[in-house]
Amino acid sequence: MCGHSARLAITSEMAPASIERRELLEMALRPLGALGAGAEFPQDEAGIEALIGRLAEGRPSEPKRFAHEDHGQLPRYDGERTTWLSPAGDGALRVRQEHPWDLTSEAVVLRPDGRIGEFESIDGFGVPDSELTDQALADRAAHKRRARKLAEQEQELEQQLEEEQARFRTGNLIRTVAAPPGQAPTGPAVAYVALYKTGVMINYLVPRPSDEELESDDPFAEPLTEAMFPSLEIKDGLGTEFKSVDVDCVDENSSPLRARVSFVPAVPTAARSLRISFATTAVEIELGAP
Amino acid sequence: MSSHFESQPDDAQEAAGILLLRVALALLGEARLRGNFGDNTDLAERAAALATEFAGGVPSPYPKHPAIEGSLLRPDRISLSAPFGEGGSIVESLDLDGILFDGGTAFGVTYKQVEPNEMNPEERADLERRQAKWRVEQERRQRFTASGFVRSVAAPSQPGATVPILAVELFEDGFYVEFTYDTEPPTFDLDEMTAEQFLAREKDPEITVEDDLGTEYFESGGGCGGGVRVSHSSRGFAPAPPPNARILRITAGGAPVELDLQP
Repeated sequence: MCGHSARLAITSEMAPASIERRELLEMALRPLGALGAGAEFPQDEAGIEALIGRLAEGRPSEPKRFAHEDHGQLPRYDGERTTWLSPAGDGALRVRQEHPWDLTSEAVVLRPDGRIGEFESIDGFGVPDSELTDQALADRAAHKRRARKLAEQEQELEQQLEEEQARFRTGNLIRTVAAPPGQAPTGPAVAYVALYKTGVMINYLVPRPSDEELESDDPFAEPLTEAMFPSLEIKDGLGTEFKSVDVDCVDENSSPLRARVSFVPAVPTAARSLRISFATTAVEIELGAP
Repeated sequence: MSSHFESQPDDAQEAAGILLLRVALALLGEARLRGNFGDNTDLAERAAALATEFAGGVPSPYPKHPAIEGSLLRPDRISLSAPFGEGGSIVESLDLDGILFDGGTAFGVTYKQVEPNEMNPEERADLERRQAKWRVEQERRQRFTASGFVRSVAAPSQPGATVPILAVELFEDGFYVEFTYDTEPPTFDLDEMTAEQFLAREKDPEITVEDDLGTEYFESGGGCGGGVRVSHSSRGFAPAPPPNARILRITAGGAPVELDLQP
């Protein structure tokens, strides 16, 4: 079965980026780890689905999708950068990662001992159009729809980016207001707020967690980030609904830590105070007259 | 002492990355059957042997390092490192469940150190003077620890200022000056840039601080800042303003801004 990919056109002129091969091998580590003490990779759909069910999750903010595909079928493209697993014979597994933006794939056969075969670079479905299956035609049509939608959204995204990048430029700055002194050093303490025509920035300090608290068995735990950005909401007494649009780590090496959270919309000129609430404490800042 | 940056060849880095992952797969393929990665010595030897095997029997080109260095972090977790170029290395950590994490690439800086015995007495004296000056500067840089926050003082409005001062954050042993300025998207080309151009590509404005008592303030405790199209920056100074200081006068390129220190 290892030779099943002979149907697929392996385009030698393609120069797959090394990063794609590295990511493919990184993905290949997961089914190997999930195999545990098993002698061979499963060779049937149910077994591969069960293997996928046992995969370690990895970084929560970067979920990776794995799916089974039949041996010898044309490659699937679901547009989600999925890693597709199929039986490769002799207890091996074929691992293929799709690159949905250009409808290409990179694949490799993985043996249960962790050895790999040659890399395969697959352009599209690897066969002439006349041999495309209904599924392949549907995947290709969906790819074209996604590409069209992306192009349509491009201008909107550019405008949004421009707005975000220009939001807190100096021309929009109105003034700053210091928070009252005497806030308890055991919790978050607001330093000052910066009022802009386009939003408001809250600058604050939080106690640095101890070294023990920063140690974690979970490689993806981020205790420093969690400490730096506790839940935070602001109220202006006028019922304005503020939305957090940015968080900045001002200084993660300091003790206390220094951070900033930005909100939109702007604080209305009629607002006379701003109440800034963390989970454990709150502070009221008198805004005074504009 | 002089130094210069050297870019690392991309192909060497790419090959090192692929090799590291192939070794990781083979190590995991063995470890999963045992339920652990074995002991540190065996792991290091096995990683080096696998690297040589996957390189077609070609030994490591780095005299002091195997092509892949493996070390045990705990029974179910290892760290792997792949050197490349002059001083570069790719590092990854791997768990027995197949999760790769803490990955990164470090780039080397090569430098040529002039041995002290090559110096004449005048050069040696100059070096000692500069070292003494550096020690004093180092002591000043570390004076402000920013550990005891006291309060903030907002700056008055500065319409039209190119570098508006936002506030100062007062601590027991120093203070931060908070300021902002607009930036434009970078136009530099890293491949065409010298080390000097890279380091000088965007600098925070110079900030000077005075008070009404004539206190000498110096930069301390570091600084930080950044952002796309606008930078929000922070620069540390020491000492803390004396309790009887009434005014802090801050200059950032334009007209000085006076902050009222009286609570």
